[in-house]
Amino acid sequence: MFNVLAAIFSKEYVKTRTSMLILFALGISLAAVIYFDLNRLFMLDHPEIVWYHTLDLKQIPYGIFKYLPMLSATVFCFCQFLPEMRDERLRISLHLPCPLGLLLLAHIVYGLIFLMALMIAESGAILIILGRKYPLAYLPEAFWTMLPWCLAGIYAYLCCAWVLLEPKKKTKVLGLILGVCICTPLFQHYTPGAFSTAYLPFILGIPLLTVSLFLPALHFRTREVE
Amino acid sequence: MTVNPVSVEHLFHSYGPKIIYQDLSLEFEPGKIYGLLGKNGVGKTTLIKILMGFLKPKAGFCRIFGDLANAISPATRARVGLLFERHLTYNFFSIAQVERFMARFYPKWKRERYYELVDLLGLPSNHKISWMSEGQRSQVVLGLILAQDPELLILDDYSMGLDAGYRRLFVDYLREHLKDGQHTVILTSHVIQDMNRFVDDVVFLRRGGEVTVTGLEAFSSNFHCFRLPRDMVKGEVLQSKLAKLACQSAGRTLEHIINLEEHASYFELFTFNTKEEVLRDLEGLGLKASPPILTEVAMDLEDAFVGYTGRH
Repeated sequence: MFNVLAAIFSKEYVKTRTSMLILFALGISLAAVIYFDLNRLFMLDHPEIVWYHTLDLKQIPYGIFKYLPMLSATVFCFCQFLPEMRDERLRISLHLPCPLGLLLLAHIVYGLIFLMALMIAESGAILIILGRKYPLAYLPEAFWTMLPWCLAGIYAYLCCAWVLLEPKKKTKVLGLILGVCICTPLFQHYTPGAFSTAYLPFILGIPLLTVSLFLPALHFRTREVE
Repeated sequence: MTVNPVSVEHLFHSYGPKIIYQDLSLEFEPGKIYGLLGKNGVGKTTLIKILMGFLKPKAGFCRIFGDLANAISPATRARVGLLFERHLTYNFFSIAQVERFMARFYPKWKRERYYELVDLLGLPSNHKISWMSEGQRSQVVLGLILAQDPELLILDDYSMGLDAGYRRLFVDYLREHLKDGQHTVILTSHVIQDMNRFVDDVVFLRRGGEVTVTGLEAFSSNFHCFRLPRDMVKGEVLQSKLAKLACQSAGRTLEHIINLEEHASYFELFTFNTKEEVLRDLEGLGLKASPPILTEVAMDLEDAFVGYTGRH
């Protein structure tokens, strides 16, 4: 099992290393933009005014980050799975002598590990920037605000993988609908941190959706129609 | 009990109303090289996809070493080498990376076989596969398959995109490595002449799922072409009768003639029978003539293939 995971991880690394680097650079650039924006805010106004806008009026000074995890996840998913689906190259992987479930899981887990690392790095950088300008008590609220956006990124990756792997058009559309239905509430403009008590179902959904990706892979493996 | 590497049992498959196979049954014996032949649209690629387990038939089964083709166990997959159309492989890998990756999955991996073939390309080991020509890529793919040391090889249109030199190299290498008679090969190709140098048996697929399995030598020696000059066929009625037969599958109407092709100045009659038996069929149509009007024409494998399956 370890051998299979190591082999698949090395293949995925070779395939996606350029896109990983670009996405990481994009995340760091965005954190830099947030840093300079925040500096400018504190230069233009008194700190207590900026704090008032953020802490009492619930304005989000790092709002530019909102759609980045979803965008990164979608781009990464295309970079990971499009070369496999072009000319149906996935058939080569599916013929490898290892269980289909393990093979698929190795691909998805690789993607999830990278995306989580990317999001932790991006949101961590933002929290560090915020920590330099705001009281530390503000950071949990910022964390709970960014978490749904990161979750939307994870779901976007899984649903995008579903759409790319699935050969049947109707089931492709189902994956797309699923993605829209899950991600839409995560982007609603609630009070920052409003989701803090409702994350459990969203987090539990990730392993469920990961396992359900076995279905499109199975459809691809033994499809009945061309 | 010995299990055949591949067995096809009562296969039925269709695309919409078009039936590809109806009750197709075949056995592929161990140690033989089979050429799967047929015109475009008869279901060669469909059969290969079903055998590879990437298409589920509407009815019937295909078994690979006893496993159902669409549910092959990992242990059985390790015994099967697949070559996909257009020599598909992971384009993002380099020559060395793809070898290292594949080696992790196959217990009997023979690294030297891969490099024996790939070294002929004279490329550095960090050369990307995506930078290669179709011919160069075919060498890499063949090297990977031979390094697996599989007992069964399924090669889907291995000649596609290859020039004569690379085709020859491909076939020669395969022959060299498979000469121990321990491997079973099922292949399709659009270049029929290459099969002459390589296959033991040919499997002819015809429209509607008709199938004939025969030894290549037996086919080459028993299948004949006779030429009937058009001016020896007196009368417009008889000429049009023959022309009409040429548009159909002649074998359905005539007892001994498999196929009849119409040309500007002659008809060609293809048969597994003797000239006398063919003449009896023609006499049944109303053609009165003595045997010399039929001239036997020498055929190579491609002529025989076209003669057997028809041009249309």
